[in-house]
Amino acid sequence: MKLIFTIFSLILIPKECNNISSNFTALQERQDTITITYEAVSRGFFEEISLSKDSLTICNDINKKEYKTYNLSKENWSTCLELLSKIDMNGLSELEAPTTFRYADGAAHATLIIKDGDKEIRSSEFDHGHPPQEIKELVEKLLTLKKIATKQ
Amino acid sequence: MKKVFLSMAAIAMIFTSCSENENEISQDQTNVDMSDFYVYTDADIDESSRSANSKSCYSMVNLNRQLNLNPGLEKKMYDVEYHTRKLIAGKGKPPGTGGGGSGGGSGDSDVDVLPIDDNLGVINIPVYVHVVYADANSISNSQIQSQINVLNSDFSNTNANQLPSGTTFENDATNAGFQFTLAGTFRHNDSRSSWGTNDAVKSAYPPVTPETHLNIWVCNIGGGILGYAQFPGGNSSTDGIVVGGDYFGVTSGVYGGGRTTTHEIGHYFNLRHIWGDGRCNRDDFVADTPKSDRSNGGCPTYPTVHCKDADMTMNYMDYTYDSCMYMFTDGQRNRMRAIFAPGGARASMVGS
Repeated sequence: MKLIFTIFSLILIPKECNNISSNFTALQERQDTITITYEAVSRGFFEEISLSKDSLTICNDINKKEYKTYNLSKENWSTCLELLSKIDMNGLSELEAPTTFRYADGAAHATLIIKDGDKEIRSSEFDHGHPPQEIKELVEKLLTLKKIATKQ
Repeated sequence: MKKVFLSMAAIAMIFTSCSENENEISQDQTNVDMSDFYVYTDADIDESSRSANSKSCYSMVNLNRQLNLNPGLEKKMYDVEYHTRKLIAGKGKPPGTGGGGSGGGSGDSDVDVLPIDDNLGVINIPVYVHVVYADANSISNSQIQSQINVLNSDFSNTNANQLPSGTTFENDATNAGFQFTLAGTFRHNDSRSSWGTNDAVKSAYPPVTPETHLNIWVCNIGGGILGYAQFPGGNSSTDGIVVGGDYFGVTSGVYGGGRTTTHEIGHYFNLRHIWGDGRCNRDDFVADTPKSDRSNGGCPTYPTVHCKDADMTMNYMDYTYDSCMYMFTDGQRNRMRAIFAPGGARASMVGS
């Protein structure tokens, strides 16, 4: 019986999802290779807010040629990592958007993108201004950081 | 023993939950498969509390707000979709894959949909334009006429000669068979500088006979939004499209070609965004548009590959610059025209 179970497992395990450990300590250990990006796109509207360990980059150019980079404090980065650790990264692509204004252009299409080493995890699309509950805190933190950075 | 079975079951569940959530496409053309249709998401119950806290300028708009205001709308949109699919399944036998698929070289299958003979001929759309600006004369008659001219061109020309070499899109480019005529212009001097996407402009200046006329509000929307639309099946009191004056008709800049209005009318005629507003397995309900998991912007070079195939970035229902979008497909044509067929959501506009 055990043998059958082992064989069964061996067949199935390689097909499992590429699970990504997202607890806070694990994230801190590989924080140098993590990027958190929020992107909102519509026709004529583009906003990309990208965070890495010590910088915040903002891009409003659809052709991604003009960037502005700001310093990011350790505290802010740590807060974002902590918020990220509360998110199930493996479930990002299946998140259900609470609203659908974007279907007929009533809102920009937003995506949360996590780069983790050579992996890129994209959330499902949602309305800019109406993030799914699961990622709401992190998305709002990114938008707040952008607001503060661009005010200076 | 029990334990082992439980573990197996658990593993099996992990396995299934991780498998690609591909929607199966119905093999039987006579049955109408609605399993992939989406209008609304379950999480919407929270919407009222959400928008109360949100400072976003789009907070209350569009489809979901309408769905909340009007519980019958979901059913109506389902019916519109059912009617569309039934008509297309009955009249247009998709020839399947293959067709003229010679190019590409990447092994992608080229689905070719044929235009359905729906006996509707060229469908005439009479248009009312509501100009709402502090100085309502700031949008001139010739600017309005330039928009009508762009629509008449976009909804009848295939522009196949503009396609880059190497695409398999030439057999998809279509003459959608619509003609637009300006039926009247209403000018309203109003100093409000930003109308948002919550239909405020439609409440302030209601549509005129929306059952038989396409109403277009031209005003400043704000929030980076160039234009927005309402799908067929919605409330007639808000039926029509809204377009920012800087993007209405032939103006200037990368969105100055009048194609924001073409795109919004695409929605008004029941088209979804070409990437299906979701991941690879989310469809736009049109067979001859390639799968994609994102919009394209700017002026992409061919091929721009997502979901293993080159995106049709030159389709009016993508987000590219005006000069870089120039086609609808036969499948989109059939879908748009289906709502004007007898029993369709906009059938009352035909022949008026």
